[in-house]
Amino acid sequence: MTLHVHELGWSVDARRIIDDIRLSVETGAFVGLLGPNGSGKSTLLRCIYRSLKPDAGTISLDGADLLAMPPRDAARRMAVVLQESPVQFDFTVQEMVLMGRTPHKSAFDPDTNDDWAIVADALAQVNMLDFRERSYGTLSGGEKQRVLIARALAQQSQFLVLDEPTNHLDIRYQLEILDIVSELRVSTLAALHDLNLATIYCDRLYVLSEGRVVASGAPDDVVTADLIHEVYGVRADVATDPATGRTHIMYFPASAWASA
Amino acid sequence: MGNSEAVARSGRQSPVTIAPSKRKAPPERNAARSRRLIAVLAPLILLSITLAVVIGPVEIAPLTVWEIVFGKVTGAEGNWSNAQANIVWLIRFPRVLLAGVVGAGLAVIGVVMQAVTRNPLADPFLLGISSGAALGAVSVLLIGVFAGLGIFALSVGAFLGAMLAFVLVFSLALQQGRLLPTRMILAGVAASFMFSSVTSFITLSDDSSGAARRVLFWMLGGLSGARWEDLTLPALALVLGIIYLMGQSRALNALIIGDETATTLGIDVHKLRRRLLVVTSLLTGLIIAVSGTIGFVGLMMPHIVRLIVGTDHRRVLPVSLLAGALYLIWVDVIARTLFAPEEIPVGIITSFCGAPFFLWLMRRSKGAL
Repeated sequence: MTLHVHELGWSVDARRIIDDIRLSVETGAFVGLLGPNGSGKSTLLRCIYRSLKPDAGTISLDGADLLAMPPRDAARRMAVVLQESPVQFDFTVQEMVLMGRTPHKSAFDPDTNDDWAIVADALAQVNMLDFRERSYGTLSGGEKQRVLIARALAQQSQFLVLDEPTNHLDIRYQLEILDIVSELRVSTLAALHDLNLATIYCDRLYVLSEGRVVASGAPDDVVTADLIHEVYGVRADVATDPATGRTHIMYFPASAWASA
Repeated sequence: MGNSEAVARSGRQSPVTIAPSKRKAPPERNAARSRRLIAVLAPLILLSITLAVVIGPVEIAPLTVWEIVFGKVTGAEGNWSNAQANIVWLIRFPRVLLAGVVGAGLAVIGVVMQAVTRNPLADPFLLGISSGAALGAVSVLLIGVFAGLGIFALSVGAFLGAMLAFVLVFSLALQQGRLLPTRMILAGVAASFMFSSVTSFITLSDDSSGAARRVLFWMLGGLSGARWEDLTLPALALVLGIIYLMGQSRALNALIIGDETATTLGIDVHKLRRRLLVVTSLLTGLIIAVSGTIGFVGLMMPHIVRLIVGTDHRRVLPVSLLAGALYLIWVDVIARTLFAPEEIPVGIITSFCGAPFFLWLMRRSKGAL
């Protein structure tokens, strides 16, 4: 499934938060969205998963106008993993994942054996099957994030949107989550924080700054010392590890730079 | 569209390797508990209705109660006195059933309000919805608004009052599209006081001597003097309301997690919220028109039920309905027997039990307030 965003814009109080965004995700590609805090990453994703109504531009999913689609149709095509937020009312892990079946259900449809099998498989894929009777509220941040990914899997859509899925997680869980997602091979658009991880996992990157796309392309072409300085205002050295051929980014704190 | 069809279709396109039916459906503890609970509550309610009709100053045997009911429905003759028949059929039975309908309705309203506001402390009484409905009812009673609507005037007035209060409290609690739980409770309390003061003002400006007494009934909540015709509208609204809400139960599950989550699961959040607002206002108005403001039932029942069956609304809704009915039937029995022959308004007892429960809940739900 392919996603095309064309000249997308969204404003609040006559202030342009994102402007003239052009972005594409090809079938099966893992595309990363980078940019400092406040650059408009979350706003762009909110427009794509239809929590915000853009005031300019178009979004198409496999050629169909995403913004004009009935909500249920959109949810069958696109699953979203939001940043984990506290829930006052507690569900069990499997009830949480079962919610992913919602867009496939009419008013009085019961849960079928197929639904439960899909839920169990989704939990198995994120290694959370043993937790299915546990209360969601008692899980750690990494476990919660994996449950939310399982819910997106249970939705069985062909397009996945992730809003900083590794935020607040230990490095081990960050790698684990991104491993799980990249192995799915469904078309994925993910806002990411960590440049190193983005270059490892993504097929293509878009960099946002002040609401505009300032760079896009293959990770090695996009992540350069110049770009990091320009967008994040940080000095960095971008090198290639001779052993793995992978890009590595080393940051220099302002203090270290001054004394050098 | 059938579900298996959806699975088959997406399964064919999907590069995700999901092969349904390989894994067994897991044991569902919450579902099993909820089935057992319904199996216990339903006969318990029948038993309670019988006992609640039996209990009273004039003694009537449990079996006679059902003989009279059977006789009244089918027209059959039986071995009972006319006085017994009148007490059972005209006084006690409608009152007990009304207690059941009002308790069930308030519990269901509580469930929906807590889901819509994502606030565990939401309750029609605490958020001022009940006071709004009472003001509507009193305006009809004393000022004579909607007089053209005849016997429905009171219900229409209460419904509009409830809706006005709901919209007011909701918009006061909104800040940049987000509902602030603390602000919602404070707005509810303020609205509640405001509506009550207007109600008092209307009452005091009225010269007729009975006015104050009748209004006090709405302020305190009571089921005395219940007639069969009082049952019709609230019972009808409850049946239609619960059918609609059960149909929306998956959507309610998503909504209670968050607006964005619900949106990504294919729910038109704004449309759903508008409809739920109308449904809950209607249910609140129709109930309050016959019972007055009975507090805390909508707060207590859903929480006790959730502790046992979890948060899935497909279970919380029916179990809360039964629990609310059972609770108010017995509270009303206490209300009329504790200081017999004097009666205490039901609302006083529900508040006496509910307020400590609210405080306990407030301490328990960290972050909500």
